[in-house]
Amino acid sequence: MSTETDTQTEKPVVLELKNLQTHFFTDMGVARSVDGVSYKVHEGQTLGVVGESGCGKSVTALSIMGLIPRPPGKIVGGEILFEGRDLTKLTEAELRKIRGKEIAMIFQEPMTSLNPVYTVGDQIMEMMLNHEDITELEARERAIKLLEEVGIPSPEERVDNYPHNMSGGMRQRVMIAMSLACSPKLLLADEPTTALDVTIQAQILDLMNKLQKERNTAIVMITHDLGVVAETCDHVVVMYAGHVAEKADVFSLFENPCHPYTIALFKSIPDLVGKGGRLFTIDGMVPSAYNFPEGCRFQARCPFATEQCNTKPPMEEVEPEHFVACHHWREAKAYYAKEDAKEDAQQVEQEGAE
Amino acid sequence: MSKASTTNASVQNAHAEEDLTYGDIVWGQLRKNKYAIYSLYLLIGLFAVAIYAPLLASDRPFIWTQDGVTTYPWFSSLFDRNYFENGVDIFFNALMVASLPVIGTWYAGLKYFQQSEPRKRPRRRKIQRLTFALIGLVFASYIALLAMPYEKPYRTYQEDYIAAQEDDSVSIEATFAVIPFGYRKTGFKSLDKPSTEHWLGVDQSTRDVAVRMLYGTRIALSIGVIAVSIYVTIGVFIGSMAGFFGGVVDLVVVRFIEIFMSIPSLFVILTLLAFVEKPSIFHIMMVIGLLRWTGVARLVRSEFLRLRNLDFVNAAIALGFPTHKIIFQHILPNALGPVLVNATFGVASAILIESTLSFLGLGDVSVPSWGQTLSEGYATSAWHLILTPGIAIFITVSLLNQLGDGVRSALDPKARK
Repeated sequence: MSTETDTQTEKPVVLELKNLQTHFFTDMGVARSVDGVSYKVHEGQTLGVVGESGCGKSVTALSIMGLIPRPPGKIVGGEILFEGRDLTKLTEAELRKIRGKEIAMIFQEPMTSLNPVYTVGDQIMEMMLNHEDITELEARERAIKLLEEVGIPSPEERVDNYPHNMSGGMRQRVMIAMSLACSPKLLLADEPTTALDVTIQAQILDLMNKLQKERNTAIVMITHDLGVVAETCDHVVVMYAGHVAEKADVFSLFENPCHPYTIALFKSIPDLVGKGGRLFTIDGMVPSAYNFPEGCRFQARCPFATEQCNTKPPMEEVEPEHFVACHHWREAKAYYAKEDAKEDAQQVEQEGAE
Repeated sequence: MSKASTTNASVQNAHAEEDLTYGDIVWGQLRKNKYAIYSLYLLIGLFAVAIYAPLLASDRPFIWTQDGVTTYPWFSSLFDRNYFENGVDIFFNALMVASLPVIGTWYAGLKYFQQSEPRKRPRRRKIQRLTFALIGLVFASYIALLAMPYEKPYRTYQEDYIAAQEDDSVSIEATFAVIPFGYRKTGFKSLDKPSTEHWLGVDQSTRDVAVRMLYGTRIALSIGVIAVSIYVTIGVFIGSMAGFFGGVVDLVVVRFIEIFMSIPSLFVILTLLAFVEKPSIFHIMMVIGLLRWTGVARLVRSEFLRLRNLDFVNAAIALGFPTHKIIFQHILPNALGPVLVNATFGVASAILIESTLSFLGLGDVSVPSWGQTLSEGYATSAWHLILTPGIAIFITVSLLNQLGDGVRSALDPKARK
């Protein structure tokens, strides 16, 4: 399983997290925000990380970048293997060489992620001058080319614009241009489309897909939007309260969700086709990171929870490359299959009556 | 055709409007503030007076013809360190001499770049480079001037001239400045009231007040600017370290600032100057600079704490920039607004401190500072010795405060419309 090349996809593994644990030591206690997360990212593929707010998606990404504020945060266990090197053991200077050049990151808020005092061209150029041995003129030309590639009209003029002269979507394009300036092997996108409006979202996702194909970049797409996952990702990791609930490739997850949490997530998406009515909701709230329950962390909100859930559920392989961490996934599946059948029957009946 | 060209022009205008830098916005905002902009112009005028003081007042004649031989003593006096003893005067003289070629080159460069470089941003960068080069040139020439040897004998042209007019055997022709006295020239009637010869009267030590006021502008402005530059540099450095690194560094720095601020600075200055045998103007600048950095440090620290958590700082780290670049290139330019306001007010308060020190008799006695004249006025209760420097200090300080206030509201995003 842990060989460098995955037999099924036959693409080399770029990033592998092994049992990553990032905790925050504060006055209120220890917040175990990321507690034993493992996943793999393959070259040229996109991994979606899905979950509610506060489930540890972003902290995982920040841990990979080494951006966890220390103190209070600390990576207490596990490994982050980037091309075989453990990033948790590198010094700050070694990390700096990797950041930007080999791993880049796109942030959620395009309004604040560009420096307001420099032109966008300067910022892209600085990025290249910092990591590569090129002249300022070459950098400028490449910056213009990059801006053109990310779909900014009249890039020769736009290169001298300040961020406040641009719209949110344009800034996110600039941010993408910046992060791709040195052709990194891995791109961490932390909710890159959340702050944009829907039409722009689709454009940005298309752009990222296109650039990924051209450069063979691996992307970790952190999002809470299952639509984004369906559109862009090859593999998906569903996180809940610092644990991985389920991981699978995108088709098998959408066709065959197994964890009660994943099923509930899918059920709470509004349905365009079916008849209206109340949306499905998951009762309760994500437990506070300071006192997660022992064992399965979803148990307080899970209709199938039993005594058994006080022990940590193992990763069970449902089908090839599809893992779920739940003691009762079979019952949950059976229950929801019955529900669905009932609903379908009702609908058919109603249609018949009409 | 005409319609197409007008749309083209409007498109270009739209772009020109769009491409405003933060500086452009603040300047536009400042320009709307009438009082601030008049203060700025008057302050520029004050600087001009300081720079061109020798043109208005000097006891060296511009042209001196004695027995058919013509010399130009005024020009040779400018960098003569027997005549102008302190570095401040030499610096302003260097500025005066350099002003014409520097402004000329700058203006020519501006025109040239406007023609050769249609794009706004690269042009701005070229103009910036030219400006920095010229400033560097002035400073380099100043240092060269300070290093120059000076061994010319001191000569009293004014007395020779007066003597020659009574004595027919010597023929002397000379052109003097409007006020034909130097600021160290003594021997007039003590405490003489203002007259046509001595426009602002004579002080207790038998020197012309008008000349001293004129050259005092140099002292006041240079004290303000240099002391503030020193403490802004210190404050920005310490504040940015505390704000960026946080934790223990922050704790130690903030406690240190609090201890520093709890000591009344005037008394520390008095104590420190008491240790110096003969305090020079540079000692005073240093002492003010070393004591008043706390305000700037706190401002910069708080700005850093705010900016530290913004995404672009995280992005800069995530893109692999070195720490010093993140601190000084990415965060600092965003934190300088409040410092600018503080510095403007700081210049005013530094001028006041220097006047206070001179008034208390702890200033540099070799320079013609306003506070000294005021102090003599207080000792002799001669009205012209109190009123003149009093008004000069009052005007300078209130112009600076007015400008500082203007800058503050120009930087305030809420005031923008």
